[in-house]
Amino acid sequence: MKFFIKRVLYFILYLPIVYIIFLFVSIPILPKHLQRNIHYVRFNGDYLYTKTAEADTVKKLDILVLGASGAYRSFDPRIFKKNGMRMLTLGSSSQTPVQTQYLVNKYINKIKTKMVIYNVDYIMFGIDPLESSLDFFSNAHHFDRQLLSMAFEQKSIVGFNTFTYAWLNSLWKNDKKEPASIGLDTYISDGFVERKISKHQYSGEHLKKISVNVDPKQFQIFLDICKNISNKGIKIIIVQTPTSIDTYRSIKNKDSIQQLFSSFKSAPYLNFNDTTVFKNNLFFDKTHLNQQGVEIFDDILIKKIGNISY
Amino acid sequence: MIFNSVSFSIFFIVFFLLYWFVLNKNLKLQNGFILAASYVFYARADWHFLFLLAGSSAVSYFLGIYIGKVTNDRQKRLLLYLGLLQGLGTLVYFKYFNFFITSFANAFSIFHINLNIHTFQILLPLGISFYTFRTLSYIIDIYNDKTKPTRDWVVFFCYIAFFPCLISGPIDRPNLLIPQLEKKRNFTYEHGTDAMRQILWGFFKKMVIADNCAAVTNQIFDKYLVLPGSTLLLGAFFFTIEIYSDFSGYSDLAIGFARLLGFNVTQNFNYPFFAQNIADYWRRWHISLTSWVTDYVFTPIAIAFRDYGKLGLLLAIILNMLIVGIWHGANWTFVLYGFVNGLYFIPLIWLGKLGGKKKSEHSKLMPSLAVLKNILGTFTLVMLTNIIFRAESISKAFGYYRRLFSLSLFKTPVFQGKLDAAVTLFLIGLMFTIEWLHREKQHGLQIDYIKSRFLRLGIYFSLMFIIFIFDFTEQHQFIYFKF
Repeated sequence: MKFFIKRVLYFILYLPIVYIIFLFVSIPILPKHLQRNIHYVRFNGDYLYTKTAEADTVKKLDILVLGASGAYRSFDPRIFKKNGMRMLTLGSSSQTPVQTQYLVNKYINKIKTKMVIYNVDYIMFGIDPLESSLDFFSNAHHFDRQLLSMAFEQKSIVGFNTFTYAWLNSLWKNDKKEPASIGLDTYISDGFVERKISKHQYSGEHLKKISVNVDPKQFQIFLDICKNISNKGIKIIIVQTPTSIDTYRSIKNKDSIQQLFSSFKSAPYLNFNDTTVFKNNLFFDKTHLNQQGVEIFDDILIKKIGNISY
Repeated sequence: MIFNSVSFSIFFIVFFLLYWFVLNKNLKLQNGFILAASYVFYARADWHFLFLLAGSSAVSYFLGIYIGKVTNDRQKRLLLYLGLLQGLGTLVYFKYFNFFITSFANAFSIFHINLNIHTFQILLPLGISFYTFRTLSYIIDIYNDKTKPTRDWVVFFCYIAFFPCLISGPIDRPNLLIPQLEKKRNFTYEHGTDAMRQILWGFFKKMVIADNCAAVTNQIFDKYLVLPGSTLLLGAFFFTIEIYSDFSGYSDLAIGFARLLGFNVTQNFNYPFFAQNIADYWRRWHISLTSWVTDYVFTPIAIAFRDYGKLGLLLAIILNMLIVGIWHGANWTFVLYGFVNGLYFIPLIWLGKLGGKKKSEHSKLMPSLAVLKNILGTFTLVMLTNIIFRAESISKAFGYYRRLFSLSLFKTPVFQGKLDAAVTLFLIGLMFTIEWLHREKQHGLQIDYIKSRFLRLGIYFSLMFIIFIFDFTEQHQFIYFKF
């Protein structure tokens, strides 16, 4: 019996080592469709890799923007700079509060910022945080304990595999540079992803009505993030960036969700969907502003920020 | 708490260590520990019916003692009927009550008589079909003097609720498990390592093959009305592989865990897809159920019908298969499934090939063309019949057949994730190749004959790697849990 247990323990001890070797050797040569439980996508278009590299060098900011794609596609740092504000966006695709919390914990003490804009996208409060975690693993510069605990919390083999492979890759070679343009998008320094207006206009569509589900766990993390930021004496604004009228109308329970987000007393909640300013021609798809829309939105926001009293 | 969960792994490791290192010296304590763990295991899955499990066990335990004690045949028979009534009554109430009521009302509605009968919301207790069959075989075997009643209630309760086999079998007979519970179990290194191999093979079949097949099967069966026949054929193929790898994978896990605790339980599958005719197939598929029904249903009926020759034999087989079918669930699809399988025996009975052993291909690496033809023919029959098993209703099954056997059968298959399905096909090929090579062994990964330790380790690590890379993350429940 003791011999058996000894053998099993040896097997368990060797398993992670052999597994890591298997992973490292096989994934680069396996076709994508054979990498079923691994989702390693570096440079997927949200420029998370470049943004976090920039965040590592920034010491002082006027505004730090957090959130999902609405964050990195709506806040143009060049417009804010013209108005005398230095901004950095740490938004990423499908970023849920789990990843936002990771970013806040990592950067809030490093970067002295006067204000945080937390861009809330209702949908992100109900989706599985795994997708965004995979983006974080694939585009990480440093593999710290918090990132590891994010991998553990997902309780997903895809999360573990991607984390492990990304970590191995970072040890092997980590000198790649993210291309400045991916597809139709161009990266603008300080976290903005620009899409030119001329070609891309949204023409509207009929969308099925949906009820957005807000996961209480995710909402609690959101509240914790807000509390953490305001406890440090940093101003925080919760912003709902504009989405197309079709998208906004398709959400059945928008009133109750708005109530939920305005419940945090220390942070004003600005919803830009209750205005008629943002017509379809200011979007390039149903949820994202094109550059013309961004300029209009940012001008309005800058004025509003000036009027907020804490 | 299912086998492929972290909670079960922790539960089993703790149990295993305490079982062998703390309680090994005292058999009574060890059995008590098995019982307690089995009840915790069951309660974690379905605590509502824990009392039903305990109650059924208690009634059968006392009935067993009384049947063994009384000498009067009439009294003995009465006690047997009481036992059958309790076991079958519980099963019928929980599993078939609504089915019978609605079928009864539907039958009257054909004659435009509207019976205003209400059905009840009855939850199906987990594992009831499995543990009830265990209680029934105990009572019947004592009545037939095939086994002696046990006086140790802990042993008996353990026999009924032994956690590796509690929820989805195998359905062990009292003669096999009770004697093992009554004497000290021994652990050998060879036994333990082979059990681990069987567990690894079970995980591979369930997590890689079954769950990946289910992803294809579910989308095809859900949309069968709009898909071409060629896709539906693939759906039937993937479902057949899914149900085999799911249930035989589960059985490998159950047997493997039991072996780690020093028990030998019934082999439930004997490579059924290498069967060369339908009778051979049913001797290899869900062996613990088919042998149970053969012993307790088929044999008495066949004896009663023996004067009717081949027709009597056919009737006995059809009745046998009807019971096998309806055992799976309260739906006419299962009745039809059993009936059709019964009909498949007609040519075998007529040609007198029912019990005949097929050509042995033991030592051959490749099957001969004749054997391959038999294997593929049997597989095709099984695959086509499994459509009835998978369908939600008979009308849907016939709808599926209608589209399957249409001209669209010759079109290119259409469904999402073709590339994934191709990978799954490759993995299925790998599974069958390994199983073919080990078809004389108890399970597909009985590779103790490989002398090189490094080669064996390489195989284990490779399988683990395949499991971690190809495990389909959205499907975890075992199909036979619902039966």
